[in-house]
Amino acid sequence: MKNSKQTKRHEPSTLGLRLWTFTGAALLNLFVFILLLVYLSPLSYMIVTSLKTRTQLQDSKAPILPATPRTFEYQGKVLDVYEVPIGNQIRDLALYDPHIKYSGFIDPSNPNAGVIQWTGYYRSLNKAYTPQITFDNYIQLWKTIKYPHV
Amino acid sequence: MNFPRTREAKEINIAKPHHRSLARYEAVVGFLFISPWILGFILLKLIPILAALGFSFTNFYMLEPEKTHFIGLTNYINILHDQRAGASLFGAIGTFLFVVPIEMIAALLLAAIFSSKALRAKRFMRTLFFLPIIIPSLTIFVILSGLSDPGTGWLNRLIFDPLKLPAVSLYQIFPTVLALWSIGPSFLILLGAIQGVSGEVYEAARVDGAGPIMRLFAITLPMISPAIFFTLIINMTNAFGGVVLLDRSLPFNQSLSPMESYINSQMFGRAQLGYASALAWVMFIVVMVIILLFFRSARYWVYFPEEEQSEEL
Repeated sequence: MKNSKQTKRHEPSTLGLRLWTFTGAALLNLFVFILLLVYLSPLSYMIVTSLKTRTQLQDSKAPILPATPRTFEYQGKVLDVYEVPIGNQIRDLALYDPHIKYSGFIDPSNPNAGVIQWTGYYRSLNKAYTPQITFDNYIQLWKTIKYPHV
Repeated sequence: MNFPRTREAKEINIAKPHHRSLARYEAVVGFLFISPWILGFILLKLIPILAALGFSFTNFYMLEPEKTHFIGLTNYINILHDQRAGASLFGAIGTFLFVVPIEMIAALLLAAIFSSKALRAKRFMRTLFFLPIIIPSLTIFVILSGLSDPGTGWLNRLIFDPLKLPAVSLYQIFPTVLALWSIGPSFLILLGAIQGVSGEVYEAARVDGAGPIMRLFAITLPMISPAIFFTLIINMTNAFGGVVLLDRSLPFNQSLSPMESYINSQMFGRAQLGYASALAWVMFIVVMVIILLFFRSARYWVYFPEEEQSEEL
């Protein structure tokens, strides 16, 4: 009986020790995992970049992850879609009539509403993108490398 | 003086010729085993090194080799007046002073972390930490130029721009990242050395009340000091442009060591073999002096168990 009482008295401290060991191990593993992510981040950048289009690479305001610029076909013309701040909200509108001081836009969700005029230089706006990966770079690489010579 | 011929003495006398022939046989076999290396060393290293010493005293111009003649120490005197040679030499020393400590500290810390029993998936993560060493320097340069691009690079877009810090350029991060991505071999050597330290020593220290920091500085570091010394030497040689463990696959005249680049440009760009040889010998002497200094200092901080045992005997 005396022994079992002693065992019971020690139980919380053993549990505490195990919890402490577990927390230490978890923190160590988390630290090494984050370290590995940072350490290999240039490789991640390289892989992500290889899945992007050339257009996205040339656009400094493009999203970080692979995406393609949104376009909208209106009256036989392919228009670029921009993120336009109107009022308190940002709307995705297709650039229809570009000018330096003002531009005319078409709402792709409601093209019959006509031209929406926005004051400002359209090049200051961000293009609207849709997440999409492309394997064009790999296809180009496959065609470029002359394997018999390699 | 006549010694009594005991049975043991007879046995020794009988055994001696046999022992000698066995030792000779072993020496011959050993020599045969290392002879390919010796042959390669003589033909591909020693003779070119000595030839370079000879060329350094001539005006050897590779496009007009027939006009080559002895010019004494002129090439070495020209080096003293060549600002680019001085800049590249100090650049090489600067690279060594910057890169080697980063590599050593990072490899040592990583090896210490990986020696922990609490760490999971060690083999997988060890491979991933070793992985960048196989990437050629030119590829790293391309990756980092994209990563640090002021417009589209992740570094500026994700870290520096949100924190309103000035944009970081490629040349600011390239040496550091290259150093950190070169720790693979050093990390594995040091990890192996740490794992080789007897657990009994740690157990005894733990019983004596030594904490983790104390164990690291009083046991781990002294016990793995030969491995630290070895990695220090290979990292130093790499920093000066020599290839010891793994080649980064750079073309001849695109070395990362400023001095080596300058030698290559003199040799392959200007075809001045005599002057390039003199430069190579100056760099060789500088590297040898630093290595000798390291070896001289080793007696104060490197623990060699064999030497200690022989002193005790």
